[in-house]
Amino acid sequence: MSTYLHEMPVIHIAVCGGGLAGYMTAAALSRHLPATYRITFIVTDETPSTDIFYGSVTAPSAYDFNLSVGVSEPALVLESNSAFSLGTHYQAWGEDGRSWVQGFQLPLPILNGVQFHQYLTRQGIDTLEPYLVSAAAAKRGVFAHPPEQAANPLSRSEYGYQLDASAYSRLFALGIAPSRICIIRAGITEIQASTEGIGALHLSDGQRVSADMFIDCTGPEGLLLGRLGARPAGRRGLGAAMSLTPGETLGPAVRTLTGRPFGWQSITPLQGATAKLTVFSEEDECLALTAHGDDVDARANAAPGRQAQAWIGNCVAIGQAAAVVEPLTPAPIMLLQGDIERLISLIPLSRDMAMERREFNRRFADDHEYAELFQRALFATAPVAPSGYWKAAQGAAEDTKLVRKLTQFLSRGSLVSYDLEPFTPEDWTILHYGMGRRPRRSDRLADQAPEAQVKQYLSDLQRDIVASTGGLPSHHSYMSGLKRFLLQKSS
Amino acid sequence: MPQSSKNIEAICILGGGTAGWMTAAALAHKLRGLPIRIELVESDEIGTIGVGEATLPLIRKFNEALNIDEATFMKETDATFKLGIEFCDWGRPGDRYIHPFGDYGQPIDEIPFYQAWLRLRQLGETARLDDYSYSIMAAELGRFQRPKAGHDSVESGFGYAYQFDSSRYAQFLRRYAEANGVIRTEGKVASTTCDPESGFVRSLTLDNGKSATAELFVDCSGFRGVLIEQALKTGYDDWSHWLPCDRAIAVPCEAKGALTPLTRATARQSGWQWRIPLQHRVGNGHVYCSRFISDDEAATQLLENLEGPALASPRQLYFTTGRRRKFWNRNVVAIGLAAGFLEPLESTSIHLIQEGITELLQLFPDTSFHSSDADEYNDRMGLAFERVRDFILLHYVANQRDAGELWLHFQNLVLPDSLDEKITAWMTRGHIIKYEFGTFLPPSWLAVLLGQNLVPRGYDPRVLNIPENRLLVESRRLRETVLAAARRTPDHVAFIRQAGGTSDRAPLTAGVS
Repeated sequence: MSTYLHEMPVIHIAVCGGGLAGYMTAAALSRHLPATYRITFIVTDETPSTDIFYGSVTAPSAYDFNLSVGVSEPALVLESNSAFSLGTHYQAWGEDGRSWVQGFQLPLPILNGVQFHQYLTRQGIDTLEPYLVSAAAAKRGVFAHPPEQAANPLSRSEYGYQLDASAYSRLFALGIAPSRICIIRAGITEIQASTEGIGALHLSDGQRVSADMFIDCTGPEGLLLGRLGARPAGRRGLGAAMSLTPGETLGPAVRTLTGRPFGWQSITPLQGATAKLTVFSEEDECLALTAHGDDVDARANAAPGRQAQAWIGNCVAIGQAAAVVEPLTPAPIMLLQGDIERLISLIPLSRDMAMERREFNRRFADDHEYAELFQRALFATAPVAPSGYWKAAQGAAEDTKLVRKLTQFLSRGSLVSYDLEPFTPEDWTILHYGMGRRPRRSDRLADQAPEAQVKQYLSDLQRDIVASTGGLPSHHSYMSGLKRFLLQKSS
Repeated sequence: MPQSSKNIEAICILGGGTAGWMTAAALAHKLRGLPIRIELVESDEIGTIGVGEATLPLIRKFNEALNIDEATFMKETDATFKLGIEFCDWGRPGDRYIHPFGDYGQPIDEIPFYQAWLRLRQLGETARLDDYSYSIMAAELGRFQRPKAGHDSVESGFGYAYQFDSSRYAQFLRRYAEANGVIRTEGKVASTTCDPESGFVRSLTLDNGKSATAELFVDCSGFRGVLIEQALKTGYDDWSHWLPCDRAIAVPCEAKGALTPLTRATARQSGWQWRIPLQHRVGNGHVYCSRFISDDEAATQLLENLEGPALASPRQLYFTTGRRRKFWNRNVVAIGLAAGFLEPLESTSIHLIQEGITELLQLFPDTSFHSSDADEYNDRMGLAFERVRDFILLHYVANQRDAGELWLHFQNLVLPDSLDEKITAWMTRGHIIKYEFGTFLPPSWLAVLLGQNLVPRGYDPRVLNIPENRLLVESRRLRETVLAAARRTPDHVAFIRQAGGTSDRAPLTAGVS
């Protein structure tokens, strides 16, 4: 029968790259791996401009992830320009210029075994938004941490963060446990590789770093993985421009994202500034940059797409080196966190990493595929005379998994879920309503509740949401109060 | 929406076994107040097959949803409590383990406890992983209580199910269903009338001249699949190349010894034997592969291995493991044995009936019978069947038995990729590949893998972040807490009495342990 590894061999892991992916990965490895792992972090680029493709929002999962790698919420609030996020307000989106708040929300109520939105269908109500507390708070520009008391509708809201990738990545630099990691700042001059994988890196300072395993955090170029045969994965080129405009007052805890012929533009309120991001199809660069204005702080091009295998040989690509995701939703950072968590849970026990590689690649493909379904569902309609951006976004082949989701929702409001999707059923319900998809029929079981009772329930819920968000402070004053409190506590 | 689409007004359930009456009771309750006529056609002449009398914890949700009182239900069905399944002789002859309805220990620094246990073993600690499971420790002592509220004690957060007489359960649900408006029609199906264009089943003509007409038919007619197969020719996916057992022989016997809160499955040379303790008797059966053993030999093996005198003559059952190609075809939904068969090694028969009913209610059609409803139902149930199949298959392939042709068959079997990957991931580092939708969660996989001697070569290295001393101290404390809690748990029989669940029909023959 099997025997145990009596001694775990020392395994040397070299993280190579920088920016958000590099610092997050280095922080996570330094916090989670035991001393039998030696970690070297070769910083080739502190703040790569392509990091603007990570976007400016996270999902609620960021809280737990950050804490697990040593970045607490107080640190985030005090030491970066990050702010709270209740979601994204899409505007002028798609064919009929739709507008809705894609808020973060805990599961909607299930009444008598029937999902909430089935009662809306039964009552012929077309909008979900009045029943969503996160949307209500976002539109009012207010914020507060969700309270514990279940009776308060606000307890059903969730929040992520609004951020600027370069400041956010510096937080993770603070999260690194310094005793556990050796940091080298240098460029790569040569990558030594064989069919087995990568052997060593030659650096611009003359050093040569060999390791048992290499983590590629070099961004869309994927320098290390590319050396092992990976080819650029994206099909259509996108451009992005970002600028930070200083401002004293913190805006609402919601990102506004507006559809444009060339792509889209988002405005994200941060502490002390507002981030403007324009994403466009490469052929419309002039148009897009004119619309953006001439105060560009960061500018990059990249082609969204993912590698068939993010782990080849002894090299794992994390973040954009494995997949570039358009920052239309919180997917880019959500997937980056996922890549890192997956890596930590499958960190090899020896130089034989066949099982870990296979499982990592399987889950990588699933996570990215399911996130992509959500992004693609945002293009199920388009402006009437589609421009290059919209044509290209819609051009991808029909996906049977997405068709199943859309068919079921349109037919009867039924939500199809696959195993361990990054986006929740609530995210999907809100998206469907936002995109104007309405079920053609309601669940027969929804007919059981007396109509008067349903009407009363819905109007009470709406009233409670108005009442509970009405008394909240603005995002700005909540943040100021929180910071005062945290500073007093720490002094 | 097509003009012709309207609400279903009549449902006909064919067959009155466990599946039929569970469906009737659930539909009657869930659709109450709606103008829907529910009729169940059954014949007193056709015997029903008790599809496993052991259940999984979700059965409680089924009963609760129907507002069924636990004590009444237990009284009426001679039910006992169940904390898990005991597997004997599955790894190697002489081995035994329990698959509990609950986890082992509590995570340490968010790492599953069993990973720490693997490290403890390496450090020379000899305690079994079972010693950290309250359900197992209580079950081994013949004790039972319901889980306590909250999450902070070892006595909370475990699951329990029941072992009961499934024909009595069917009768119990029949009374419930009839009281809730279900119409029972006596008769055997003589012929089925289908719409010549759509092929939909329109009506059943019975041998006694009666007929039954409905818009939706639920086929609970058992293996024959009177509607789904005989009328609609749906087809069947045969899975016997994975799971070759094709017969069973069942017999009840008198109980001897303590009334265990456990179902038992003992591996045999050409199959396995079940033992299901009820209040007044013990259900036994031998599941086997007819290619490797004769019916007579199988019956002899069963009768020789009974703990007390047989209470009836043995009953022979024939089956083909597999699933109907479509569970929902046109206006017929097959539930129970008409839908498919998987041997009851993990007590999934009633569970799959329950899933079938739940999904039917979730995707309840109207008279247009959109093909998307049936497609979705078939996708969901197909996944449920496949995942149960893989879990059952795990028991046969993850072991060291080498005597008997049946076991040689499994040694040479090429596994489904998903199962192969799971076993490799486990053996490499105790990693459990998990899914979200499926009956069996990681602790169940863990129970079988370790129970059948598949000890991983490595473990999650994050365990090394926990100081050895802390591991030793915390694990010892946990063992002591679990043992103390198990020891102060009431005796199983005493608990049934105290809960008012004792059957009037027969005394609790099994002695108090």
